[in-house]
Amino acid sequence: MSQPRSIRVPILTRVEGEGALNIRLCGSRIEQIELNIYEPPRFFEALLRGRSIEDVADITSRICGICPIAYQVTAVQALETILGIRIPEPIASLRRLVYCAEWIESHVLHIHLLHAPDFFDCQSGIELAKIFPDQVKRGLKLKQLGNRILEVLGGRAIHPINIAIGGFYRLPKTSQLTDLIPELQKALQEAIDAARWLGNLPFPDFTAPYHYVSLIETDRYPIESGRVAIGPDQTIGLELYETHFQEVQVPHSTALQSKFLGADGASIEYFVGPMARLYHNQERLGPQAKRLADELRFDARRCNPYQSILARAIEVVHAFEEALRIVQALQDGVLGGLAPRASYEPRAGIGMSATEAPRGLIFHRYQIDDAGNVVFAKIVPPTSQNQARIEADLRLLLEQIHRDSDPSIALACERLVRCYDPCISCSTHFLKVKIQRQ
Amino acid sequence: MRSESREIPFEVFGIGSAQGADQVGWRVLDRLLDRWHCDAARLHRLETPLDLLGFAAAMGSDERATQTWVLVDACLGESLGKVHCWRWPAVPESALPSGGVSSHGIGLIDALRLGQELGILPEFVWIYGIEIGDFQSIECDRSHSIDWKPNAQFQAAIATCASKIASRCVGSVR
Repeated sequence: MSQPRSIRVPILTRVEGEGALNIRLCGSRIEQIELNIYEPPRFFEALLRGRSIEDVADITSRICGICPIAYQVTAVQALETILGIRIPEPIASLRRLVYCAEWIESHVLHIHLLHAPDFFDCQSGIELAKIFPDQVKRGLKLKQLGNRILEVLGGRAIHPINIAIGGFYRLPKTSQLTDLIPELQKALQEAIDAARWLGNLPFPDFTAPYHYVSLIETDRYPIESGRVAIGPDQTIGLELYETHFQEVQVPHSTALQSKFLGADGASIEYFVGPMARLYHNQERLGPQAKRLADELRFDARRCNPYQSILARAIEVVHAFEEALRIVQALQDGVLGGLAPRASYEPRAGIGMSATEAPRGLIFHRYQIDDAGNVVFAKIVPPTSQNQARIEADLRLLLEQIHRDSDPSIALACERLVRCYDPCISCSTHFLKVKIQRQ
Repeated sequence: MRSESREIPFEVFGIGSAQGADQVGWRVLDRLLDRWHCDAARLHRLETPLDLLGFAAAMGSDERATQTWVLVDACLGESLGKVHCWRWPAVPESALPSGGVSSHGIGLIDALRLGQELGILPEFVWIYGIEIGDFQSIECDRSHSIDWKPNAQFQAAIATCASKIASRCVGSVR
């Protein structure tokens, strides 16, 4: 009879936040695989109740230091639907621009310092920098430009403070945007070079039956708007999101897990993020990003999670293209005479919004009262949606590698988890690995 | 952060977060901004040490070669409010441990090591550390004190640290 075997990764490294991985094996049988999110729950939805809707963007931005814009934009858009606010196109473009900056900052950090080291057997970005100093330096420069755009539009790079219901508290000067053009042009080429560097990585041979979910738009790559694509050629409006997706609590995690409810009532693990976005929207990338994806022969239908690093690199190119397009379009005084934000009268109602955070789809729903205070808030971040899918992937991987040594299993599992760029702090609104063998 | 073509010999970075005494780096910067006028230095407020490297990577090597960087951050230590000054790389790991409590486990020391590996640090990097407690007390503090009000010990430390930085940067406190 096989002896119990327990493998534990007590702290998952190179992820945002704190989590662990517990694995129990009995011979070739996997008895337990748990992504243990032990970071305390943060009760943001409860904190919002009773607060003025004017406070929502600033409070929700505190959920995450990496993707605050996703929380802010999703929140204000949901509230704007209740208040009947339609923001002018130039203001909407500025919101898309600041969101592009967040994609750049988040993706570039993950690619160069968190994920790429895995493909070269490096323990850290510092080790990777010894082998590829120019590539890491390039990554840092790209991230810095993302920060600059955030500063121009958000007031500051971390926890920006400028996004408001109805628009922005303050609009940038046209010259601040124009100044970005030469840097964006140079960065676009550098982002393409970075993606080509990653194109030849030795991707492990691993595939899984993914159910990809992302926003989808008819005429552009989705960032801050769109319908929800729940399958090939199948989309739903936001009003049906909670009919098709259900959050459940599991004992080993302080984060809720979200499942897709199939037509037969079965709950299905699903995958959100850059891979899902490209699966549903690759043909809608910007021209240079699309050419690059074709050149790299990227195809999310291969369902290889390790290729998410390529998906992010392609999206970085798209984000720079899009940022450049927006900034060029906003020259010539388009912002002149425009009020930074639309005025509104509070009114009771329920509103929702979904956008594409760097790590995937994020959904918010709010109910407010006549005085403009929050009665109810629901926030579904990307990592809690990917959690069940990560555990399913780990189970598939363990079926292949269960005979390996404990340290080897722990390392392989950590690497697989990092493909998802999990944000544990977001999910608790995540890694330690423990393996038990029997 | 601002980029200017004029040569500025000093860059001062206040590093911190909104969590409790981890704000000391920012508070020192605030004091400098409030009471100090000096054309020789630019002041930057950072929430993650990694952004220090973005700044360095984006800077031309000629500009960097002539600069001195001054970093202010909270550090580990039980003599609350004690101000240290170290010249990189002579920094005790006990005060500023690798990983620390920073996002993605990339602390100030890790960021500086990466910067050194990439050859993007100026020759002179001074680090001012203000002791704010041990890991356990910091974790407790992080949980509930965004509206941190420094006690007399910390107020004195912030004033002392700002004054030392001003002196180093050939400025003067008003």
